Amino acid sequence: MKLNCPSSVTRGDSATCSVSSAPTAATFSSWKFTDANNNTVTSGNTASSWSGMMVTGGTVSVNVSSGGQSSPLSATVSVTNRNWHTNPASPAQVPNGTFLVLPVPPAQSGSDSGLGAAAYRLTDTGFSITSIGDSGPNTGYSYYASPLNFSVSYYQYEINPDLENSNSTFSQHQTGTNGFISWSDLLAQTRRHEYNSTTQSHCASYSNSLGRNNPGDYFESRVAAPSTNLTTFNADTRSGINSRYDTITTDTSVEPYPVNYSEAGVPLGNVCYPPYTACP
Amino acid sequence: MRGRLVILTLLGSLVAVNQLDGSSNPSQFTLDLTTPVAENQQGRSDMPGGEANWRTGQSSNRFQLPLSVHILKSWADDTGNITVEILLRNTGDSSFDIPISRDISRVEQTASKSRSLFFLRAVPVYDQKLGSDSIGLGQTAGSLSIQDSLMRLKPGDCLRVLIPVTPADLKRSLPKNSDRVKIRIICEQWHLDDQRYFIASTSDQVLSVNSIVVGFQDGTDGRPRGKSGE
Repeated sequence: MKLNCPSSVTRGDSATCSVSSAPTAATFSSWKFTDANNNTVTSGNTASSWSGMMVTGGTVSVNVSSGGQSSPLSATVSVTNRNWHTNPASPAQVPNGTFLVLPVPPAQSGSDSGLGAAAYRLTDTGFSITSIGDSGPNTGYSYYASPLNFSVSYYQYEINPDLENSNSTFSQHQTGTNGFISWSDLLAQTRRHEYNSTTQSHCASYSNSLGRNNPGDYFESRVAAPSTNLTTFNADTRSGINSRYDTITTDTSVEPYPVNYSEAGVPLGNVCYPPYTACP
Repeated sequence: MRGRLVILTLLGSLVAVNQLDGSSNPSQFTLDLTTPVAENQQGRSDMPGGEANWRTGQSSNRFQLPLSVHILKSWADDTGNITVEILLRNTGDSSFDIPISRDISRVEQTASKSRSLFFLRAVPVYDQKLGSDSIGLGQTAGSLSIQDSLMRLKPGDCLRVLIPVTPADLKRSLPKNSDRVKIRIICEQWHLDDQRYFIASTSDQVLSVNSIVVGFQDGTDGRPRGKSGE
């Protein structure tokens, strides 16, 4: 005689636990589910099986009585996450002025080179929670039945049109001589700074931080035990997502090596800005 | 757990709290967020949308709340419901309009400028780190276009707020083999978009400068025991 439960089930799927090889006259009572935090669900179910939607793993137990003897049986079920991972957007170039107007010809402003810019946006449409009421092992638990939906997700960058144009006056002054960077290096490193590096770009910071602070993964795993105050739980979820957003923004804003440095942090020369009097 | 609810202790910083409280002139107004709110005033059951966005030159989109948060005391009533009393103080140089309406629905449903949701959450602390789930929540809303939904706190002004701690959530928050847990209060505000149910910006989270320990303790008389300030 054995209690059989699926060893694992994807969150939100149904599972059935059933007693096998029980004596013909056996009776079944005290069906119970216990999660890792000792939250319990009990049932008056008297059948040889107990089924329902599962959102959190734990131990299912039942008492089987036969011939004046009672046998407690138990089995564990684990719940696996749904793949709701929020993927980073691919970097896409947009025209100057789409989200920031880069000065043409380029001009430095503080530490900003004026040669490139980047932006990202990740907009979710909100969410609601679902409570389970199927009298199964996880009845009373609440979870998010649908993924966090994003209406906007992009990573964009702009490159100063004077830098992209090899014939511009600005580009012609990036000679690679007398301590100044070459035009080809400057264009390449500006692209590297904004998006074209897996280590030293805003895009890398964005992508890596999104991986570490993933709103989709966090949202997927949120499960409320029975009798949890769902207003509080939802507010915590929203706050948790917001915190991840903020961390991603903070991480993305960290400056990679400047546009006149290599990906390895080697200075490649100064940038020659208008009016070009200090450079060739 | 056969438990009786007892507010156990406050931490050492209570002294500082009382000194601070006694030397100020806090408002006599107490915002009681422990009483039930009519269902049609509780706001939407779904959470508003939100977003992360950044562009070159920005560091963070969050705004700062000019508030400090102190836990003054807490107690449990005969039915086991716990109340935490909090003192909010405007620590900024200018006035701050704090949302005080409990009619969340009205603010959410009324498109207007400067509408926001305001939260005070009681969060357990484990090994000096905040837990992920709150065990108590006080929520208000406010808007410039809804009369009496905002209270102006001048620099230095205080507001007392009462929030509930949910016994069931408290019980779940207890560390293994422990009948008590330390909690702190997190204060934050969400500015809603003028037209849609969407979070336009969020504040930094302000953490209470002190904490309190709450928990269950076996008892025989059925009444909550203990008091704050122990």
